[in-house]
This record gives sequence, structure tokens and C-alpha cells, in this order.
Amino acid sequence: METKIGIGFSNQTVSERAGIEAANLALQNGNIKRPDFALIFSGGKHDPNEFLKGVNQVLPNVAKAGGSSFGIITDDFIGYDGFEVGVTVFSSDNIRFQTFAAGNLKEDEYAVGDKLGKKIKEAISDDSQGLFVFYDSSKQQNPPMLNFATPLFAALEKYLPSGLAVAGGGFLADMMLSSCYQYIDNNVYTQNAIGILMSGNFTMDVAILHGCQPCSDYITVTKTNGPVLLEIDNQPALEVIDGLLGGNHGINVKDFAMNVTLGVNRGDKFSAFKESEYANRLTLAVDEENKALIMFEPDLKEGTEVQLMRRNLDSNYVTDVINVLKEKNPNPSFAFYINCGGRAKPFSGVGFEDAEEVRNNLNGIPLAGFYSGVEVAKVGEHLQALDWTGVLCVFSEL
Amino acid sequence: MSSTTHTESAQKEIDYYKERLKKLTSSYMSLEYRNAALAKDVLEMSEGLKVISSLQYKKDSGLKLEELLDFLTENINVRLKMDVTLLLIPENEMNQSFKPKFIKAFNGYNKEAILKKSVSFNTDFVESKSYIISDDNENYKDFISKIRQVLEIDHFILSPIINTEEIIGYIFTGRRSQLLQTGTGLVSYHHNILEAISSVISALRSQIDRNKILEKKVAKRTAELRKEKEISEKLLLNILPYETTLELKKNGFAKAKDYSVVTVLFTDFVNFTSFSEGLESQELVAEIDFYYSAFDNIISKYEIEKIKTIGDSYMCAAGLPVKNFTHAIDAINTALDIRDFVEKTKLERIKENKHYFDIRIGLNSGPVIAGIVGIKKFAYDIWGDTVNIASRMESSCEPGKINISKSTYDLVWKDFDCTHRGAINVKNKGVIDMYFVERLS
Repeated sequence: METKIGIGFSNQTVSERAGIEAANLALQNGNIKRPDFALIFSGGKHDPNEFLKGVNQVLPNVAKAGGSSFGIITDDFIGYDGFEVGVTVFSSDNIRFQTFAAGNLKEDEYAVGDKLGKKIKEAISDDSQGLFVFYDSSKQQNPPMLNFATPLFAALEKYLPSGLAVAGGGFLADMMLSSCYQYIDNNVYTQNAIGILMSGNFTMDVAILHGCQPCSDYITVTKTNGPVLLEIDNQPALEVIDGLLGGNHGINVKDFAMNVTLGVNRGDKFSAFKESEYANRLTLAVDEENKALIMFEPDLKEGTEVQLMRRNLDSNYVTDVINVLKEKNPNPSFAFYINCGGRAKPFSGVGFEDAEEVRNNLNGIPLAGFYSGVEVAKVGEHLQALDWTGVLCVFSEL
Repeated sequence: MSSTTHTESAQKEIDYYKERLKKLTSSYMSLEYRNAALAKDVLEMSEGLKVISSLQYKKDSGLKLEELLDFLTENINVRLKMDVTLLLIPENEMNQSFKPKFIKAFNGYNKEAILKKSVSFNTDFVESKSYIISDDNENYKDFISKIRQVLEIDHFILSPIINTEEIIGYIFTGRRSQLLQTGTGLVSYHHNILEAISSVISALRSQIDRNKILEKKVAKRTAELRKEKEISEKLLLNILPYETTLELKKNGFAKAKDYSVVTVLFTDFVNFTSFSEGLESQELVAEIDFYYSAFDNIISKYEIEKIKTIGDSYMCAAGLPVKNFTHAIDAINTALDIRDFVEKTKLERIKENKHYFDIRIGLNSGPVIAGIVGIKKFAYDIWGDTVNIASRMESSCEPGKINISKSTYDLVWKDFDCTHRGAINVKNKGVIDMYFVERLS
């Protein structure tokens, strides 16, 4: 049977109705009579149980996985207001989906990665082609801090074969770091990492869309405490960034959160700019008392040289990346986009909607996706937590 | 130039370009941040305009006011990216206390509890007909604190809905404090949007008020018309049989119909003409009315159709306009009741030494044609020899008796005791067997 994919959304405020509406729309859009699997995402202002109840009214006894999202991306709709939900339904004899969950991220991200990795490893078969890994970003503590992707994926990747395409993201409900939820079938979890293993006669290709470049010279991290960036060039980190922005920028320093991004150049320091050699780190929050920046990830160690990054002002980079993907996949049947919430138009300062550009360049290939806190993809041979980035997956049936 | 001087010069040049880069970066990033803030504002403004236009569209789509207000709070909440939106509706005419309604909110907002609350309003604020942006208002600090406490939202706009200079409610919309960014972002253009929305609601309210007045007028006129129609129909039913009325209303005319067998009844008061000469016309009419009213009640009891009265003669028929098999029995029962009523009245009047009447009743059964003739003063009538013979039966009758023809007798002989009078010559009709009906057998 031909694989059918239907994508639906809703932005109703009543969670159950939103679930029903999105699931119905997905079935209708995909002309699907026999749903086999569903990816489900709900905005941070929704009640996850009510949403799932709504979805289950339309898709009872259908395997499903997903979680909270900062926003939703579909063919017809892009939104990040907190009330949007997205449902993608698959009907296929060609693609098999297996789901896994491991909990207690708040206590030990590495242990969760290890546990999840073992489960996935046992299920991997010769025709396993791709893996999505999503996790709860919110640690639910004050000062705000996230569950870190770096230890989670460091543990996980030990169990994954090198040929397996992997993409992932950290669920973020909203700017208040409200509780995040994860869905596996009829269960609603929190503080979990989930895996969706996809096997069958198809390919999954993953591309990274940074769309940013350095706009300062190199500055050196001189004092940190985990993800808290206390000093740069021996000055309070907040003052250094404030200085780089000119001091009289009129921006409340608290709003550096989800805006200020520092890039680490892993290539030759003084060679021409090469986007693929950069790893970006987005500011999660500002600690005004300590004049510090709290980063999404804890991997900016003392001595690391970073640059202040800015978004590309035009969207050409999207076209370039997608053209390469299209060349490699002449018959794509579906695309999935995990985009950083900070890249949404109102937050990023650019004049275009990044996800809209992706959709336009895909030119009719069914697209679903969500806005995340952290994005994950392979850089070289290793799974890398990425910030302020988009990760685009393209599926092609053979 | 020494190498030291070269190094110093190079360093100076590097420092110069670094400083230039820093300046360029700062001005560029500053612009970028402002651009982000502006983009956010423009996006929300355009979303606000969408709310207004969708409300305008819905306003004309025939939704009820309640449905429209529910749609409105949903739209404001989603499109303006709010956490909570509700309407505050006055609990009394004094506008001192308002109840939250049509709440749209994020998961975790205790809608049920909030719906049960009411907010008492600061009189000065209500009278000022002004609005509040909670983070930018020095005048109503205590009131703002109270609203925050009651409606459990930190950052909000409260905007009045004014209709014909009266406040008919408030739009309340707000956001929670953001953890990561300052993020409340409630500014004057949000109020401008709400103000425009309020105008639409106000216009809608006016339209509803006008409609209500119009509806009342229409309802009153409809009731009047209905009453007039009922009177007309009642009058029509008095003149025409019900079935004929329906046919007339449906088609504008009623066809004459053939009936193979009906029973026609005639009555006549004995010596009425000579008696009437000694009476005032008003007394005469009252006397006829007394008897005919009683006859009308009797024929209603047996569902017999009154045809007409001609002076002191009362004519009715059974078995039309709806055909039945009991027409002869019904007609004779009617005749017996009429006879008994006249007899009873006679005895009472004799006692009171008043004048009285005797009556002759004649019946005949056979075919007739029934229908309406003319286009003015409609009258339902029957024609045929059956009618003439029925009239002859009456004229051939004796006072206080019921005279029936052979054709009627053949239909009722099992049900009534009858006395055969013999074959009697009837003017222009020859000899007809006649019977007096005595009683039920």
C-alpha cells in the first residue's frame, strides 16, 4: 500500500476540541482510512490530557508519540502562540514506527540517555533508517535551567549505529519554562526522553539550517558554572554583551534571553566563514543579579573562544540547503522540521519567517514540524545539541 | 622603520579595526533588536486587525450575541497571543459589580473558580469610561492590584465597551509574567485594537436593540393579524363547512360536489305568520334567535351541517360535506331532539301563560349536489329533488311530529319506531310513502 501522510492543526483554546480538530484534519488531508501512527504536538497553553483525549476520539488504538511544543509548523499553518496543536498521521505498509521512553531527566540526563539507548538498540533492525529523539527541556527549577542535551545524547549515541539518521529536539512549552509533556500512545509523561525508531524501505536525510554568522571578534569565556556564563574576557558576561550591543540599544537586558547567541568556531579561526563549522549556543535566561547569562547547554567551558552571532538577513541559505537535499532525494514524500523557537520571526529580528521559507522551498512536499528549545542532529560523527538552529528531515520511499 | 615600530603600527591598525567592528556590530545589533521588537508589534497589530475584520464578518453572519462574544474572546486570546481573555458583564444597573464571562485561558487557569467571582469596580474609574494598561497606569494602583488578585493575571488591559454613552461591559485580556524575557508587551496599540473591537460590539448591541424593537412591533402586529385571521376563519366556518373552507383557502374556489345519498331536514313553526303579526319585529327576531340557537347546538351535537334558514324554516343536512353512513340516523336524532326541545318549551310556556310554537319536521334521503355559488357573500347550499321532497315532508307533517319519506325510513327502520302513514300525494311529486318517527326503538 502506498504510504499516505496527513497533516492537521488547530489553534482552538479548548484542548480536547483542538485535538479532535487537528486529528480529523490530518485524516482528511491525507485521505487516510487506516491510520497506523501519529506524531502529536501541543502548545504550552494546552492541557495535555484533554488534548490527548481529543486526539484519541479520532485516532483510538493508533500508536502515537510527541509532546509539548513552543509552536507548530504545517503546510497550512505556522504558529507559536501557545494554543496551536499539530497531528501528523501515517498510513503505511512501508514504514514501521516503534516508540520508547525513559524518565527522570531532572535527576540525571546521562542515565536517561543510557537507558533509552539500550531500549532502542534492542529494537534496531537491518532496515532501521531513522530515529527521532525528543526530550523534556524544562527542569522545573529556579533559577531557570534546562535538562541538558549534551549528556543525554552523549550516552545515547553509544548505542546507535553510525548509519542511522538521527534528529531530535528539546520540548519547550513557553517562555515561562512551564511543565513539558511527552506522549507515547495513551500515556502522558513528564521529565522523559522519547525515541521514535523508523524502519522500512525508505531513506531519511537530515540537514542543519543555522542561518547565522558572527558579528563580533573573538571573545573568551573566562568564568562559568555549568550553563551559567559568568564572565567573558574577565568582565561580567552581561556587561560584555551589553557593550557589544552599544549600551544604548534600548533593550531590556532580560530580553537577551532567547536572543543573544554565541557561536563556537570549530574550524580554522581565521579562515573564511563556514557555517557548518559553527556550534551556536543560545541564551536561555539572564541572571541580572550576577550579571550572567544562563545558556541552553553547559558546554561553554572556561577558555572557549566565542563570537556574538546574528541571523542572516536574507533567506537564501534555506534555498541552498534544501536544493542539496532535493538533489540527494529526487522523490521525497515527507519533510519534518524541528525549528528553534528563538528563530520565529518576532524573536529573531529578521524580516522573514524561517519556517515559511522552508515550506516554500519544499514546494509541495508535505511538511510537519514543531518549534523547540534545543535542536539535535549529527555534526560529523557525533550527535550535537544545537541552538538557534533548524533541523530538517526529508523522507523518501524507495 | 624598526620591527617594534612595525608591530606597534600593526597593533594600532588591528585595534582600530576591532573598534570599528565593535561599533558597527553594536549599531547593527541594536537595529536588529529594535527590528525584532517592531516585527513583533507589527505582527500583533495585523493579528488585531484580523480579529476586528473577523468580528465584522461574524457580526453579519447571523450568530447570536452570546456565540459572537464567545468567538470574540477566543479570537483575541489566540490572535493577540494572550494567556487569558474574558468579558466583564455588569451584575446590576449601577455598574458597580461585574461578572467574568466567556473566559478563554491557558491550561492551569482556574476558569471554574474565576467564573464564580465578581469584581467590584472603582466608581471613579467606571465614570471616567477610560481604560487601564496595568503596567502603565499610576492613577488606579489599588484597583489594578485588586483586579490582579481577583482575576489572577499580572499584566492586563481593561477596556470598556460603550454603547450610547453607557458602559455595557469590559474586555479584559492579559498575560502572565514571563520567566525568560520581560515579555508582557501590553502597549497602547493593544488598547486601540480593543477599542475598535468595542465599537463593533457597540454597533452590534445597537443593531440588536433596534432589532428587538422591530421584533416587538412585528410580534404585536403578527398577534393582531392572527387574531383578525381567527375571527375571519371563525366567521367563515359559520358560513361554510370546514372542509369547504380549506378548499376555498387552498384553491381560491370550491367545486360543487355530488353526494349519492344524504338526509335533508326541514323544520317549520306552525302558524308562525299569523303569530308574528302581533309581535314587534325585535321580539320576533329574539324569538327566532331563541329557537334557532338551540337548534344550532343540537345539530353541532350530531355533526350535522346547517344549510340555511328561510324565515321560520330551518334547513340542515347530514352526510355532507364529509360523507358518512349514519346520516339518516344522525338526522332523525337531531329531529327528535328539536321536537323534544320545542315540546318542552311549549309546556314551560303554557305554565307561564306565554305564547309558544308547535313545530313540523320533515326529512328525506337521497342524492344532492352541494357547493358554493357566487363571488360575494358566499353561501354553502344544496340542490336536487331530495331537497324539494324533504321540504314536502315538512309541509305534509303534523304539528309536533317528525315526518320521513320512504327513502329515509328504509335507512332507519331498525333503529327507530315509526308509524306508516300510507302513501300520500305530494304536490308535483306524486304519491310517496310517509312515516312518523315516534322514538328510538
